[in-house]
Amino acid sequence: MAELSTISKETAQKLLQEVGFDNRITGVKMSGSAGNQNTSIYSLKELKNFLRSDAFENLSRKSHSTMSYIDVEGMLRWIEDVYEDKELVEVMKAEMENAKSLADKLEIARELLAKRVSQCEELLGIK
Amino acid sequence: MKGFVGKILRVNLTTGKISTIETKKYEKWGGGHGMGSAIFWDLCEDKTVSAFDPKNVVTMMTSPLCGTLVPSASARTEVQGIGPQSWPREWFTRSNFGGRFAPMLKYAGWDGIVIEGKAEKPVWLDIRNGDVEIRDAKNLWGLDIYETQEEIWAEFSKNYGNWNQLNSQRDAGRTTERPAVVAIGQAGENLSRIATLVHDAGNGSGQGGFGGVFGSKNLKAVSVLGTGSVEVADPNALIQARIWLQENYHYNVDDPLHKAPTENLGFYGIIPKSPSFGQFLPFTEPSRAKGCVGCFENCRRKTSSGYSNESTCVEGLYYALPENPTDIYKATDLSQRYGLNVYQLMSHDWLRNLYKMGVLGPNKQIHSELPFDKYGTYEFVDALTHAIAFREDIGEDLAEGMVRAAEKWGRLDDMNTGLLAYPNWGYTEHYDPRLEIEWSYGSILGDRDINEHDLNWYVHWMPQLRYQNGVEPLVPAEELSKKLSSKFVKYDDPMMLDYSEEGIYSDAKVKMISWHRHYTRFFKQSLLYCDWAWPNFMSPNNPQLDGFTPEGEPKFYNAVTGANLTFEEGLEMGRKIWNLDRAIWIIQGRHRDQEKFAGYVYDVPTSVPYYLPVYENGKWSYSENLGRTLDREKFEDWKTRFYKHEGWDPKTGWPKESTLKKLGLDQVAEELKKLGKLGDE
Repeated sequence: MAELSTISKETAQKLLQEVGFDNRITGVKMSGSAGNQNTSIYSLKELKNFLRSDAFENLSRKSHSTMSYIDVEGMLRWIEDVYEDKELVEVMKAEMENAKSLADKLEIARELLAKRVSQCEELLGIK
Repeated sequence: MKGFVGKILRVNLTTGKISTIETKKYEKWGGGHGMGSAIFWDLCEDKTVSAFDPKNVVTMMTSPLCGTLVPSASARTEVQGIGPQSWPREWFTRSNFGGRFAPMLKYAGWDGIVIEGKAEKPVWLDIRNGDVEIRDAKNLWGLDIYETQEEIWAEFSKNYGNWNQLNSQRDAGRTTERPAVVAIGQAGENLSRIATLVHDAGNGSGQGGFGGVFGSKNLKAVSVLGTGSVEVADPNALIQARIWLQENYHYNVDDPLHKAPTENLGFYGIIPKSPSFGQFLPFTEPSRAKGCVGCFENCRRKTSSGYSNESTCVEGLYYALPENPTDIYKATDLSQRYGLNVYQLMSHDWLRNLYKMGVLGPNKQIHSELPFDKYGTYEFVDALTHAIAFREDIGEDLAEGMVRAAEKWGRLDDMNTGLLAYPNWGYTEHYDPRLEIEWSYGSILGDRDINEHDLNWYVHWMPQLRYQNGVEPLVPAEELSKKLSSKFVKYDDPMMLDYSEEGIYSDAKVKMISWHRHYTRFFKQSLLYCDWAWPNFMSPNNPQLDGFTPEGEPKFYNAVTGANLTFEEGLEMGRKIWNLDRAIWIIQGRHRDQEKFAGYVYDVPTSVPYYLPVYENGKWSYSENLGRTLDREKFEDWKTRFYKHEGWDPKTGWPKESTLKKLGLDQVAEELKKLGKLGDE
C-alpha cells in the first residue's frame, strides 16, 4: 500500500470535518437478509467505517453479513471536490488499477482512508 | 391428524377464562397461518377494531411439523392479529419467530394459543404441560426482555439448580429443559407500534407491532414448559426423507462439488467454515453455531462476549457507521432488550438527514435534544433507542412508526423523493420495489413487507454478491430461469423469471406472483417451513444443481401427518388461505385503489447496480437494471390482469362469490355479501 505524504494541521482539520446535507454522499449496505439500506455519509471517517469490508470474506450463508456498495467514480469525485484531497484520490486510482473486483477496489479505498484518517488524528493529537 | 397434539389453548385476559379448542376443528387449514386466519375469522367479532382494542384476537400457532425431525421446519411460531404497524391502516397481519417456543408448546400439549381481551393489570401466562395460569406480572413490568426471561427462568429453577419445576408441587416432576419464554420489553409496554416480541436472545416476531398488542393487553410474557412429545404418522418415512435429503443435497465438507470462491464466502447454499454473523467480529471472537430446534442451517451464533447472541437478519444491521465495531453488536442488543423493530430503527439515517438539513434538533422545527452531534457513537444509539422505547423526546412520535412520525411532522413528501424509503403500508424498503417485483407486488397485494427470501436468494443476491466480488454467477441467467420455473410445477414458464422493463408487467409475472403468494401462505407460513431453507430451488451440492423443492415439502409433511398431500394441493391450500386473508382485509376496508406504492417507486430511477435475470433482445442475462422506475399505468394494468387471474373483481380487487365458493369459503362469501363487499361476477 502506497504511503501518503505529510499534511498540515489545517488540512488535517479539514479532512476530519463533517460536511453538510447537500455535500453528503450515499452508499448502500447490502445484505442477503435485510436487503439494501441507503446510508448517508458525512465525513471521510464515516466513509472509512462504511466501507469496513471484512464482510467480503465473510459473506456467510443467509446471515446478516453485509456488502458495502458505493459508486467508485462518485466516491473519488466526492473526495476530490468536497475534501480537495487530490493526493488521496490519485493514490486510490493507482492502487485500484489492478483490482480484480469492485469489492477489491472498495477495500483499497477503505485502507487508504484509514491511513489518512489515522494520520489526521495523530497530527491533531486526537488519538 | 398426526403431527398435531390435539388442543389449542384459548385465554381470555378480560375474564380470566382459560379454555381449549379442539385442533381437529381447524386442522384442515394445515397449521400455522391457515389455522390462525381461520380462528381469527371465527373469534374476532369486529375485524375493524384497532390493534390495541381488547377485541383484537391474537393467535400464536404451530404446525404439525413443529417439534418433529423435519429439517428447518420444527421451530417457528406464527403470530397473527390486527397489527398497529401498518400505515395508513392497521391491517390484519402476521409475523413469525423461531427458537424453542413452538416445539416446547407442542411438547406441552398445545398446537397454538389464542389470546383475547385485556387483563386489568400486567400479567404473564404460565404454561406447564396442561397446567395454565394467568399470573401477576407486577415484578416483570418495566423489565427489559432479557431480564424478564431471566426472572421467569429463576422462578422455575430456584429450588433445584438447573432442574426446572413442572409446577409448584414438590413431587410434580422436574426437567432440565428451560421454559421457552416470549416477552415484550419497555417498547411494548409503552404501546409502541413498532414493538416486537422476542424469545430467548434473538428470536423476534418483529414486523407488525405485536409487542404493542401484547402491551395493550397487559400481557408481558408467555412462558411454556413441556415434557411431552409429538406423534409422527410414519417415523420410518420421516427418517428416510432425512436420509434422502442428506444423500442428495448435503454439502460434502471434504469434497464439495462447488467450492466457495474465497474462504468463508457462502454462496448458493454452501455452508462456510464460520457459520453466520459474518460482519466484523467472527474472527476476533470465539463463537459457535446456533440454530433453532431441528434446523440444519444454524444461521446464528453464540459469541463469547454475549453481544448480539443469536441475533440474525436485520437487527444486526441497526447501526452501520460506528468507529468501534463492537457498538454495532451492542446496538443490536438494545433493540432486543427494549423490543423494537430494527427495520424501523434503521431510519436513524433519515433522522440524521433531517438534523443535517436543519429541520430537526434543539429548537428546530422538529425539536429534539437527542445527541445527533454524536452520531456514530454508542451514546447516540443508546439515547435514540431509549427515547423510542420510553416515548421520550422525538421518541414519542417515532414510537408510532417512522411514517406516522413523518405524517405528523409534515414530511410525507420524503416518501416521494425516496429520502424515507417506505414503499408499502408504512414498511421500510427491503429489496428494491422498482425491480424485484415478486417482493414488492407481493407486499402491496398483502399487508406487510413479505420477507420471503426464496426467489430473491437466487435471482438477486447470488449474482449481486458474485459480481461485486468479481466472480461469474454459478448459473447463467437462462439456465437459472429454466431451473427455477421447473420447480414451480404448476406453471413451468421461464419468462416468469424475466425482470426486464417489459417482463415485470407480463402475464408470466401474473402467474409467478400468484404462485408465490400461494406457495408461501401454505408451505412457509402455515406448515412453517423456514424461510431460510425452503423452498430449495437449486443446490450446488447436487450434480444437476437440483434443489429439493417440490419433492421435499409434501414428502416430509406426509411422513409426519399420514396425509397424502401433493405439492399442487398444497398450492391450492395456499390459495384458499390467501383468499381468506384477502376477505379480512376487505372487511377492514381494502380496495384496489389503495394498492399503490409510495411516490419514489414510480418517480425516482434506480442508481445502484441491482442484478436480476432479464430477457432482452432475445437473450437472457443478468442486468444491472440502472435507471429503472415502476410505470404507474403498466402496474395498474398488471393489477387488473392479476385480479382476474385470482378470480377477483378487477374494479375493486374483491373476490367473487364464485371464487370463494370454489375454494370452500362459503361462509366468507356470505359475510362479504352481507357487507356488500363481494366482487362482481
